[in-house]
Amino acid sequence: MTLQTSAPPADPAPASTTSYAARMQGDPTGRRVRGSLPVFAFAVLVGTAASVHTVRSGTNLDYGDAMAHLTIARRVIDNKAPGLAQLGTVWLPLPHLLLMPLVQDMWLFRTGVAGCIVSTLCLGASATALWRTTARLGLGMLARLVALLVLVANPSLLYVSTTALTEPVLIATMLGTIAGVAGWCRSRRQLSGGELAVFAGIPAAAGVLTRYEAWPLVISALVVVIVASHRRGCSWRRSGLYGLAFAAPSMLAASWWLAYNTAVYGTPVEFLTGQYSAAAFTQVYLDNGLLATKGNPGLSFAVLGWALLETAGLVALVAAGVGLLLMTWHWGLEDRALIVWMAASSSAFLLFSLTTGQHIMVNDKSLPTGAYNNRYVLSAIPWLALLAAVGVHHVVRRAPQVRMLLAAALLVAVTAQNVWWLQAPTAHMTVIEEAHDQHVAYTRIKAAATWLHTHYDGGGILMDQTPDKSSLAPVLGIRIDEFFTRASGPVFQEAIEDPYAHARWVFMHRRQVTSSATETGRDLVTRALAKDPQFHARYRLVYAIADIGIYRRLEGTP
Amino acid sequence: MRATLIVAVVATCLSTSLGVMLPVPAASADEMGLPQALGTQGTAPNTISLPVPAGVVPTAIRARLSVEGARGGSVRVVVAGRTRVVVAARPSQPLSLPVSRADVGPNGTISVGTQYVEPRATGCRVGEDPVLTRLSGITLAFDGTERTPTSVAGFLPATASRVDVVVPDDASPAVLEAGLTAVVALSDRYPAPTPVLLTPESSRVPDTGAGQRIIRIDPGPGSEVISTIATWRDVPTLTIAGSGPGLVDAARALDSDALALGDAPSVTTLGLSQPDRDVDTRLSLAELGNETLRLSGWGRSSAYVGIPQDSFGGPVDSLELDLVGVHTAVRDAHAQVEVFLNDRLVGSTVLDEEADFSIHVEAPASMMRAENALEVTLTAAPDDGRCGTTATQAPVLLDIDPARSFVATTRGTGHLSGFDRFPQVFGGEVAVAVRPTSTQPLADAQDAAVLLAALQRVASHLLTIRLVSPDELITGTDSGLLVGATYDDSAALRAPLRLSGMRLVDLAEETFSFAADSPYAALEAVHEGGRDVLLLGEWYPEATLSRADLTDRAVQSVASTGWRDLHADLLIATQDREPFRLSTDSVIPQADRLDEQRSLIWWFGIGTGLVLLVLLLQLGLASHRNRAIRDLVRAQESGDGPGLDD
Repeated sequence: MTLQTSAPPADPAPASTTSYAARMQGDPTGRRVRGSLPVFAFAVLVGTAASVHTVRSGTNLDYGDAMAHLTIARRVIDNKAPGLAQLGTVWLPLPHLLLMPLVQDMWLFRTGVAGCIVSTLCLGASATALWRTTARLGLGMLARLVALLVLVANPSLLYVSTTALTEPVLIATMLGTIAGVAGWCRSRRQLSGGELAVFAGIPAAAGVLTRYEAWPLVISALVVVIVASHRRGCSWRRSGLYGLAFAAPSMLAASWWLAYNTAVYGTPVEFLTGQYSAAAFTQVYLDNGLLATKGNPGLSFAVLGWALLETAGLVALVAAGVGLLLMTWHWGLEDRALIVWMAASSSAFLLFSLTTGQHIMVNDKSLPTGAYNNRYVLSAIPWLALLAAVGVHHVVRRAPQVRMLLAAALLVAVTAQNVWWLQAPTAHMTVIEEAHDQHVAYTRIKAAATWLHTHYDGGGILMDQTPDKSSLAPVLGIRIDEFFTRASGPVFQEAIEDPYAHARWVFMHRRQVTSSATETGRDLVTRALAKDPQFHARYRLVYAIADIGIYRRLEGTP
Repeated sequence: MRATLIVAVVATCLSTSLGVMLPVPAASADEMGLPQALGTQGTAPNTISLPVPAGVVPTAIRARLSVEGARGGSVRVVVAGRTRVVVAARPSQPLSLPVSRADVGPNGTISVGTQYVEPRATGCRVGEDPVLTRLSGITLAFDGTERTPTSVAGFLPATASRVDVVVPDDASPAVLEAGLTAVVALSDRYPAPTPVLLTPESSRVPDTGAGQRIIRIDPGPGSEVISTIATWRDVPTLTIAGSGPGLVDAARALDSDALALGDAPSVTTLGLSQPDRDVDTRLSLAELGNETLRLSGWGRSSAYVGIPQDSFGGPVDSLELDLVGVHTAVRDAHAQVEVFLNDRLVGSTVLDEEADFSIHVEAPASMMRAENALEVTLTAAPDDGRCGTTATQAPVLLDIDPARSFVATTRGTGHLSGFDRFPQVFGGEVAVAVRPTSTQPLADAQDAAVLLAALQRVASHLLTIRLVSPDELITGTDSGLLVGATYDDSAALRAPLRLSGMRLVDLAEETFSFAADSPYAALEAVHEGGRDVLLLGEWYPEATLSRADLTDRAVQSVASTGWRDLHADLLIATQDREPFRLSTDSVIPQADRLDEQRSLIWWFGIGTGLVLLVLLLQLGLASHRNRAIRDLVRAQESGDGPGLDD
């Protein structure tokens, strides 16, 4: 085994060391990495431009989950029963906590711009972290730019970076962790455990509180930290202490999550086994024989591969494939290679989850086909970006004369890929297809929500916002404490039992929801009131579209 | 509303111009259902000719008159050139028009026309959809019996009540191919709902009265094909006897106008060779069957053109349209032309004083359908707002020249999938394979005939039938039809539904259930290896003693609803309910299909193995290099090795 006992120097800079590129390349092993700020600004600029486009077209709210994240973030404060318990257990809390201060402003909430701000900043943070990682790996300027190109020029990632979805936060925390570990491993000076905890451990902990795909990253990063420490001459005990320093924030975060579950729901594993958990959702698919990837690694690989192809693109995949072989050949199991391999942990976790039936992903290769959850593979883009950059770096090192040709070829290929994608976004990009599908599915209920927004004159609204396609608070654009929902606590049940005394308005499905996979997706208001003659005698249907009805209490009724 | 309107008008226009007919009620013994329908738009008159069987005396024409979008007004109904009745414009009303022998024209038809008459109005109805008048469900009541034809030329009536193509129970492949070809040819001649069936000789043929015909395909001793008319089982019968390719050519000739040349009870020259398939991907509107396209009047008027993909000799995935014409000078008025394709706006222009009209529009793959509906709309309003009887200027008129207006297409399958890809993917020639599975003679061939008839009725050109063996179709590369498919066939073709036990998705939104061991028949659209195959087969549990003949129910469903009513990629027939259409995604993945996917993990294994191999090589080389360095250092330290300077 090749053991690197110290951080290797960066690859030699070009002869013209006074050039801007050379100065940017500089010494990548210090804490400061030149170009970080411009890269951040550039990525934020790109994300802002994308956000302007999607906010104008309203597509930033196409995903039902995006609206749900905004709603959860706001209802922590704006609710009949405010408090941290509103964070729930369906999703990890950090993205909601980041959104929370912004969504208190009704305009930022209603337009989804709050999500744009958080996600665009995450895109900037991701690009910066990627830049710093590639610098610390000692990659040349062209290679670093290629990594940025793969990340920032990806339309699917750009799209989710204009929404309140959690993928941008996940990617930012992943890349932050990788950059932190890379900085620690590649530093000329042996950094302290405290520095490791701050620069790598805290981003990892943030990832732990963002999505479960980040949890295996913590484990792989822990291994890298211990191995790299030992290679630098530390004893196994000292290496273990470094590992502990890195993992401590993540362990603290995970412990907090377990404690939160215990405090709110009485069990630390509510997020795993509760009625709203992903497991409960997948169980329904399993019972119906629709979780076809479970126990079928071939199909899981095909589904994941197809999602990657449609999301990352052929150009990125080919470049990454070449980069993987070149990296393995040149770097073997060096620290630098291990740092890049860290980024693969989320993809490995996804493949494992699909094969073990913990995740559902539906696309053209799945059985049955469709479009669902393919955006999960966006977490693989950092890995692909790093591999592509490493590949370019090695090609340019061996054949510097092809630098411009390679740059031009990659630029043309990425442009061609994007042109092809944008010719028919809903057909060529599964992430956009999912968004479009949900846009269509939500069209009618959003029309009803918009109507209520226009006509609401106070008096309270009884509405179950938990059923399928009912998490619409941003479109409703009304203070959440005006609503009686499941999140309102016991008062929701009271309002269902006696709507006349509580709510002037009732927003419900006129027929029970049947499209939800789980029992929790039923409309409790519909169940109680749809066939209640007393209700229909005292409320008037004032708006109806498809199976949605908005009722208003008759005048004179208390 | 707009989509419904367009569909209705397109259907009416197509049924009138292209001969696609609409369902009519069953006729009594002295009544005959006629498949024709008559559609008019706005105040423009329109006429159709209704055939009267030779020898009978017509007594009445009955039909349903519907008017859509009218605000008052009346409908003038004209029979044989004379106004027979004027009725108030109502959404729907029955009509009974007494007729006599005097109304029958020299060509044996009675002409019937309708025209919507607007109520007196001074304002303009700009922006409103034009009034649609439709005469449908037409039946002809008559006395007497039909005269038996005396020549081959007069054998096939203008309208038939039923046509049976009778073949021997033990028909050879050549005779069967001729029989299927005859069914296809006659289906092209007689639109739905006229039954055109393949019938084994031993089967009974029900009496349907006037307009019934039998075509017998008999194997003959020589290569010469002889066509003879006679009466068999009291039904006028044309017997085509012969062998070899001439038999198929004679069957194909049943769709030819050249049949009229056979002015004798027996002819030997009947034949129509296989057409040239080099169909252009650029056709004029005239070549698509439109002789005139005129839009006129104040308010809104529209013209419709059907653009079936198979008109271009195969599937197409985009089209460009150049409309050229002339219009009256527009002065003191506003007139604009809008072009819609499949109910989506694709072009618009404003008319001015220049008489020349031209517009170019493009339609991408996402807009394409198997049968595309082009709608050209003229909306015109005078500046002074005076229309009708108070108009101060002549209405705007736009004549589109069908001969100079072209549709240029690009070959490709586009976004269509499942049954929507047929019949255009055949390119005009269908490889048909029949695997006998029934105890009834020719039952599977009869199913094939029903499906082919349905396909022909939505095809623009006569389909050429080529009978092949099931194995030849499965292992070949041609698109085609496989009837009597087994589980092995479905597996070999990688059909979306394997013909074995299946279970449907049972989420709450599904309104039906289906037991895993219930027998079923399935018509599947399979896209495999770059070609498309229609597969019809049946599955029943092994414990079942006999097959349930559910395939008959499936194909009868296709016959009654028509091919265009099929969507998705599966049509399932079960014992308990009416045949229903499904997407493969509604079926819980079958074990076979899942197992086939398992092998894909090898690609992952190969990739991982390649990386590991590179890694091992790298580690080996690094280890070797390290050892060499260690040896060098050791040698330097011991002082007896080569120095660095060496």
